[in-house]
Amino acid sequence: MNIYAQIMPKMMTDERVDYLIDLFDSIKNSNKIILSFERNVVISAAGMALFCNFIDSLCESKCEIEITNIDNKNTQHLRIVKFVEDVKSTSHFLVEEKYQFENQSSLNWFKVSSIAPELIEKMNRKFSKILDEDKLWTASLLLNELMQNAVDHSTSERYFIYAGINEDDFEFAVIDRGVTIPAKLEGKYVERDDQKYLEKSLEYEVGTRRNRKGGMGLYYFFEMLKSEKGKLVIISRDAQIRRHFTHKTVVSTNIKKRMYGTWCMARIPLEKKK
Amino acid sequence: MVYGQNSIGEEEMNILIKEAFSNDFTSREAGEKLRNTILNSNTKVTLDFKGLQIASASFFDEGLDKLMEHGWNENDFRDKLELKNIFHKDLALFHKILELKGIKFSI
Repeated sequence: MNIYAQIMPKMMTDERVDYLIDLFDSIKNSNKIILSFERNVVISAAGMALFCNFIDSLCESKCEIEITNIDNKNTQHLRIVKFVEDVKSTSHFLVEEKYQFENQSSLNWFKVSSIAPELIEKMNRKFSKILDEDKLWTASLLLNELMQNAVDHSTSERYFIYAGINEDDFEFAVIDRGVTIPAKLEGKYVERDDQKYLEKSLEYEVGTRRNRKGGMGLYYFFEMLKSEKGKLVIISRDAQIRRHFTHKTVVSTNIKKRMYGTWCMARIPLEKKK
Repeated sequence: MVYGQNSIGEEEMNILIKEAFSNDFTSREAGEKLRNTILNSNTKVTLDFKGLQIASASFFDEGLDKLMEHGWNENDFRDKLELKNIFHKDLALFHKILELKGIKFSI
């Protein structure tokens, strides 16, 4: 039996995802994965969504999983243990209602095959005292576009959404395991590599749909985050783009192991409601 | 949808988006439904966004901006369509999409 063991990082957020890429890759070569949470202290909404996405992938491959060294006072740890137990006990994966987590500062949703306007309403209600109307509208717009993408372009059977407070930012995203952005675009455009395909996807009306024209919605993702001085992370297939609009930094790199699906993650700076 | 007359006695159709699109007012499918309703109307159409924020480029693009693909021009948008109680960011988005398609005007 091939066993893969990993100690989870102190912070599970959208900042560093190397450990997750290793984990996804380990599924291919392992019969069992053991994850220790001894060092982990924080699991943000992003961290939870990414972890659930990993468990989804793991479940499909029939790989065993064991969670060790959890902190019984950490509600996110307890949630993960419950989540893994639920997944182990079901022959097929995920029921929408069962995997919608909420705590004081975050919402995590799982959705099958359609967009979730109810999540947008819930997010607006939950965060209306923290974020002003315009910022909530921006988050709503971007989540709507990303959900539409997951359904239309990635043709993903299921996807994960989150929204929540992370330190001084409001973070939100859609994470799917469908057709990747480079795989979708290479049918129509010729670019040098996956980094270039990701950059291409941020242009207006870049897409491959014929019967109902319109881009991938990532143009708005880029423009709105720019105007909000936010942060953008897109990871799909062999590349990632990270843009921090306040510091005007751009990181566009190949990732070390191929990813299946697309992670579009955003942050906008939190300004307390006046 | 409610048919009525405006202040100068012209026939018009009123669509309260919150009621007509209660289940979905963000998707391209919903936008397409709105566009077909507008195209099938023989009267001026008033879209009332009362109590709603749309926050969806897909809906505006499919529902309104693509009217241009059916021959609508700037005058058609002004004469045949009225947007009521629309959230300022939604209106700005609608205009932005039109602008990206090469039309710069406001209604």
